Amino acid sequence: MKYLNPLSICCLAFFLTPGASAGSRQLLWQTNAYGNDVHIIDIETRKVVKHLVVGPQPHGIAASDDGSVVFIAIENFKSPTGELVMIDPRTYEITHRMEIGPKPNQLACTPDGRFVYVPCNDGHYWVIDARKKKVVTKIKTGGRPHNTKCSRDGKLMYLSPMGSPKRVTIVDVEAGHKVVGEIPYSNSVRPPALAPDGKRHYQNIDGLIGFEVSDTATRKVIARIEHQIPKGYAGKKSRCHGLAIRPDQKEIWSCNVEHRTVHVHSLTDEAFPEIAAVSMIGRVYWLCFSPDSKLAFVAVRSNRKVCVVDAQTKEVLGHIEVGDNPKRNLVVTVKDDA
Amino acid sequence: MLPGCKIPHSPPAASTQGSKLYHVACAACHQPDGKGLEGIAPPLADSAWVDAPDEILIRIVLHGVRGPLDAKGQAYNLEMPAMGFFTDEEVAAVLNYIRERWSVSPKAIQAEKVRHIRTKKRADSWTLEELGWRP
Ligand code: HEC
Repeated sequence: MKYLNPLSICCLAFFLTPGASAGSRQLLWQTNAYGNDVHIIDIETRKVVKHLVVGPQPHGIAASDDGSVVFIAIENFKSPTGELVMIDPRTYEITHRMEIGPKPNQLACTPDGRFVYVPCNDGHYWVIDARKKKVVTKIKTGGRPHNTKCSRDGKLMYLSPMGSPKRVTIVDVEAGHKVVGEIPYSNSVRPPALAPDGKRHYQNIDGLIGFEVSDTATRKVIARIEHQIPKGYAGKKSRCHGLAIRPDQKEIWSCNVEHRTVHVHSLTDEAFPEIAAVSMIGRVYWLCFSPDSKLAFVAVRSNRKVCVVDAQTKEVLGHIEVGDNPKRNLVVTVKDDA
Repeated sequence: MLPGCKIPHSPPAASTQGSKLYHVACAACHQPDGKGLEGIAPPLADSAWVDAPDEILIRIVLHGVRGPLDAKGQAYNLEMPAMGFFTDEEVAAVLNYIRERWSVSPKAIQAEKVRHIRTKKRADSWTLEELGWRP
């Protein structure tokens, strides 16, 4: 297994190009969960190209596949209601803001950007029709609705509420947002990941430094994977928060918060062996990839930084300064000629 | 007023403001009854933490706290968000509210104390070791 030192990396030049096609730009959107802003970074130059004020405590982020709309959930701890903000990433214009349930967190949208599922702190996922800008329905899960995943074909939503439910609720989007099943996990569910082919669902869960894997067809957990505790952290409590599948579906990466490590497991072997661990400079909380699987972007919340990792060699390429407690992030491909 | 009737006390300003802030900002996790919820937040009701030294409570609200942590004999390993966006008066009000509700002998926290602790800048949440206090 490969351990890489974060200190050896800062001076490395950035060689990789993320492979955006002509007429399109790939931008990393980093929300700052305790700030009121997002940093938008061109992943080719790794420079902040825009600093956008969106509202108090921006938490969750999602975007339509065509890069025409970005949705941000505004948690606003001081207010009894949250907000859903819609932004045109081509112009950075806030095109709409609507009041929704309290303290919304990590939302998901269908790939066409039509429906947005927003987890709110009233025990419900609020379903928003982004075209009509209306609440369509609310789905009760109990617990503290917190994370959400949509299947690539836009048909199913996987709802991961924190707390006592200890299960993921599956909703059929096209069947009128009907609950069609659930996947019980062995503890409270935290950040999830969903295979692009929809066959496997992965969950960080409370009490496990690792993740569980379920089969979406049988809706059963098929594996419980523990990360190897990094050197120097034996006996130190931690938890995992942040799980992402490299777009080529070969690896899953998981953020081990207090051990300041991102663990990489193979997805080409159903024993899901750990194949690398990348040391980080602080407490890590979320990550995402460039669509070509070349780069990973890890939010280091304790250090106001995003760490850029070569997703193939696992080498840390550098850090980008962002805002207060960066958590959720996402690469959005914007077509300028659209 | 009829003889023998008690003149109702109007609650101190901090308490009204504190109650409002509690229900908007804290009850989301600690619940309106303060009993907490599994996997979300520990209880404040009957928790020895409400009688922790003023500085400890102020730090928890200003910067957040993360586990492992014990409350009412139960272990938690979660993370409470920082709420440094509250003014000094608001932090004092909400903490006075939780003490009035759940402390056996509530002592008032002054906004001045919050102001003082806020000057010691901190970017990350507290751990139990760093706080140096446990119930
Ligand atoms: C987003 C959820 C959340 C909110 C909102 C929240 N807390 Fe907490 N709080 C927690 C969690 C989680 C812990 C325990 C963290 C750990 O495991 O170390 C905690 C711990 C505490 C503790 C010490 C343990 C206990 O429960 O006795 C106090 C005191 C406290 N919070 C006060 C507050 C106050 C006052 C507010 C409102 C200003 C507030 N909290 C808002 C989640 C929250």
